[in-house]
This record gives sequence, C-alpha cells and structure tokens, in this order.
Amino acid sequence: MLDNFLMDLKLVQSELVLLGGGLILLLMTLFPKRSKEFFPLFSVGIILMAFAVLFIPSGSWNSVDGMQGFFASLEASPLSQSFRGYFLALAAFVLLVGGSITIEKEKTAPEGYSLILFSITGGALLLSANDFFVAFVALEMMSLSLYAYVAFWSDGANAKEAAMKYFITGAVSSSFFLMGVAFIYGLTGACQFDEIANLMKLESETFLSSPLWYLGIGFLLAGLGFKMALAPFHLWVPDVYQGASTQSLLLIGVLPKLATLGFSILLLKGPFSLVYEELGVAITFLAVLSMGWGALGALTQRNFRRLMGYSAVANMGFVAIGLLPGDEISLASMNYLLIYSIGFVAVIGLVAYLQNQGLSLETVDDFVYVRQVPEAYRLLLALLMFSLAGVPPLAGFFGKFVVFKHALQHGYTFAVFAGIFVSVVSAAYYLRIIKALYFDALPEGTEGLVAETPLRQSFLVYRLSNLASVGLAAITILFAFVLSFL
Amino acid sequence: MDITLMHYLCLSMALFAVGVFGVLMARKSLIHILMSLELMLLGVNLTFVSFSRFHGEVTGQVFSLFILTVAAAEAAIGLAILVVYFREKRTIQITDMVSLGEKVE
Repeated sequence: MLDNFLMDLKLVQSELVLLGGGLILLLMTLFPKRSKEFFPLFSVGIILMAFAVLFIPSGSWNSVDGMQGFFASLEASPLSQSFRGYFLALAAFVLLVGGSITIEKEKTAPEGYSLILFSITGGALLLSANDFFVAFVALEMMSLSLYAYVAFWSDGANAKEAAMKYFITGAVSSSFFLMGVAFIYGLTGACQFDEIANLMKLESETFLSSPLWYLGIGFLLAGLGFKMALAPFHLWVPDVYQGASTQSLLLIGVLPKLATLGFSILLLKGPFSLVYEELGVAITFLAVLSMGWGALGALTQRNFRRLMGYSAVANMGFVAIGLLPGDEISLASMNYLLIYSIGFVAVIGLVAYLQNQGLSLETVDDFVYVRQVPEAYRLLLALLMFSLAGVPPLAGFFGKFVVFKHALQHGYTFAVFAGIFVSVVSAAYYLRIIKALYFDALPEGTEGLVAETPLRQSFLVYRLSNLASVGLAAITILFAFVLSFL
Repeated sequence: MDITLMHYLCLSMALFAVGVFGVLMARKSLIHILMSLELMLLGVNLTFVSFSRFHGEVTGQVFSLFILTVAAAEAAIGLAILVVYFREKRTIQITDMVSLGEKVE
C-alpha cells in the first residue's frame, strides 16, 4: 500500500515541488526583511526545479509511457509530459520577464508569488489529469489563484475592475465546463477518461445518437473556449488585458491558454477520439469566428493593451485551426501557441520595460516616442511585430505555415482561406505600430524630452535578466525552425 | 405521477438557466451576479446527483461534494475581490463598471 503510494507520488513530483515552493513563500511573509530580488528569483528557481524533476521518473519523459497512479486518476503519457515541460518552461520565462518589471516598480510581496506558484501547480496538474475530478479541481486551482492575483497587484487604477470581470466570466465558464462533465457522466456513468474511452468503443452507436453527448461536448467546448479566449466566448479579453497589471497580464495571457489547450488535445485524443472527426465543423466555426472577430476588433483599437487583447483572440483562432481533426493528433496548434506566447511575452515585457524607463505607451500613436530610447529597442519591437504578423523569415510565419499545412492536408480548405485572409487584415494593425515606430514624425516640442529616468544601479541583476530574456525571445523569434517542425 | 429522471433534469436545467440569465441580465448590484453564479453550480450539482441515482453508483454524488467545496472557495474569492473593488470605487453597481472599455471620443 505504502509502496504504491510512493510510486504514485512520482507522478506529481513537479507539482509537489511547486506547492512546497508556494507554501515556503507564504511562510516568508513572517520575515519582511528580504531583498526585493529574492522572491521572483526564488519562484523562477522553484519552477526550474519542477521542470528538472519532470525528467526524473525513469530518466526521460519518453519512458513513462502510460504510467498511471492514484487509482488511475492521473496519467503521465509522453504527450502530457511534454506539455507539462512546455508549460513549466514558459512559466519560468513569464516570471523572469514579469518579475524584472515588478521589481523596478518596487511592489513585491511573497503572497503574490505564492499565488502564482499555486496557479502553475494547477496548470501542471490539469495536464496530467486522467479523470474529470482531477481536471475540474486543477482547472479551478489554476483559475482561482489567478483571479486573486489580478486583484492583488495593480500598477494601474483599474486592476480591481479587471479582476472582477475576469472572475465573473471565469466562474461562468467553469459552470459550463461542469455542466458538460455532468452530461457526459449522465450518458456514460463514468468520470474516468479510460472508462469513458472504453464505453465509447463498446457502445459508440448508442452514444453518438444521444443528444446528451452533443450537449455535453458543446458545454465542454464552451467552458474550455472561455479559458482559451476563443470567439463567441472572448468578451472578457480586451477589458481584462487593458486593466490588469503587467505581471498578471503576462500570466493570464499565456498560462491558462497553454494548459487548457494541452488538456483539450489530451481530451480529444483520449476519451473523445471517436467523436473528434465530427467536431471539425464546430472547430472550424470557432476558429473562423475568432480570427474574424479578433482581427476586426483590433483594427479599430487605439489602446495598445486592448489591441493586444483582440490580437490574442485572432491568434487563438489560428490555434483552433491547428486543432482541426486529422489522421493523427497534430501538434500544430500547440506549436503555434508556443511561438505566439513567446512573442506576446516579449512584446508586453518590452513595452512595460520601456514604460518603466519613463515613456508613456498607452495608445498606438504613442509608439513614436520609442525613438527616444536606444535604437535596438525599436528594432526589436518592429521585429516582434513582423513576427506576430507572420512575415516569412520570422517564427510567426512558420507557426502559421505548419497550422495551414495541417488543415490543408485534411481538407479544411475554407478554414485555410479564411486564415490567410485574416492574416492579411491583421497585418494592418501590426504595421500601424511599425508606422508609428519608424515613419510618424514626433509631435512638436517633444524632441528634447528624452527619458531622463536613470537606470537603477542596484537592480543590475534584473536589468540583465530582463535584457537576457528579451534577447532570448528575439533569438527564438528569429530561429524557431526547430520548434515549428515538431 | 412518477417523478422520473427527466423531471430532475428539467429542474436542474431550469436552475442553471436562471443562473445564466441572472448573470447576463443583472443590472443593479454585483451581488446579484455572485448569487447567480452559485445558482448555476447548484443546477450542475442536482444534475450530477440525479444522474448518479439513475446509474445506481456514487461517482456523481462524490463529484457534487467536490463542486460544493470548490464553490465555497469560489464564493470566498469572489466576495474578497468585491470587497477590494468596493474599497477602491466606493460602489458595486454594475452600471458603474465602465472604466475599462472602448472610449468614445
């Protein structure tokens, strides 16, 4: 019994590390005298440790194939292990960029970082769930910590309102998710993924003719679509992106999407593999609607944060194209999301860094002022924008290329044409930023207003890590060939 | 008249629908929205319990206990966010939640 339990613990090693790290951070509130650099560094260290621990079970993540534990409610397959790897690596990257921005604003508290670690624990757990119990609790753990974190830390005036809106939409989406689970339970009488898959194989005809099945799938899609910001469920995105602090924006813009997408892929590959083919129409609908609504919404935005929000919706549409059913599960969607997330974090991080230098970059037109800081930043921003727009030698192009190739191979020509059309439209708003960066004239009388805020010498580590992470993003953006042919 | 599974499902769907419309149609106070969220979860709970009875096994009932627990945590966080929101804005009227959004110029 005890041996079994110890074996099972191997499945949650990285979650245990993250949870332990979060609890230690909570204890540290007792000792307020700490250097500001400590908490973000500590959290990044914990995440990297969790990442390293992921490889331990038997040498490499490829050899834990199908290992199950805790009464088969958790499973570590090569696919889920690699998703957890991506998730933790991206989380470390987000915290490195976000932490260095937070530190310059001199508002750090250990509780915030413990919330982040709890949220990451939930996300990692979601990716190894083999049971709707675990999936639900993990999803809630990830989301609840994030709601609290958005309200906890604000660098603008409106973070509380953003938190309220995020909380309400998130709570509605979890209810939809649960209703979907309830219908699928009602049909099959099981909550465990393997059992559902077996029952599906045995009685596929009774199941597929039942309305409960489609109701269940519909509610599940709606619930997961909320978390992934797919189009009819994306209405929270612009407001929350606009109001949230930079650190929380980086977190909510990247981590829940990756965890939910990974979970959806595992779900479609596992218990729902028999209906996956029939979901083609629904996923095409979501994809085209997301791309269209996101791109059209972004075209009219002047506020930079809102523009990035709509652009996130459009990009999730491309991710959904990669999710269209094919012969075998294609990882095109995960690949696209990874490339987009790295670009997103780099853009938001770079803009926040420039704002810390004293520039005001609220609206798109404000980007003319970027020419007051060293040329390298302007070049980097322009490159990142070209990459988001999908211009060939950059990573964004390869992401889109792989997604379209996947869809074309399986005959979804309409989605591909819609995607190409939207890419052209969406280039317009990315190019508008480049126009402000390079071609618009500075307003009269502001030429001499070079940002005077001196770089703070005491936070050398952070400036270095910030530059290093933005540089890392730039390198990834430029040479993502390996990543794009997963 | 026998009470069948269908009756329970209709009741739980009605509860869920009341919750959804409560969230969508609330015009006055944020508290209304929080209450409607709880109602949605209760509808889900009833669905689980009635399906569990229908199948003659307990998984669904255990699930509804999980939902109750998480709903409590969710309500706690929702109310906490409501409190910090009220401290900053001195209002919980839904119509006052307009500082984020498209600015008409």
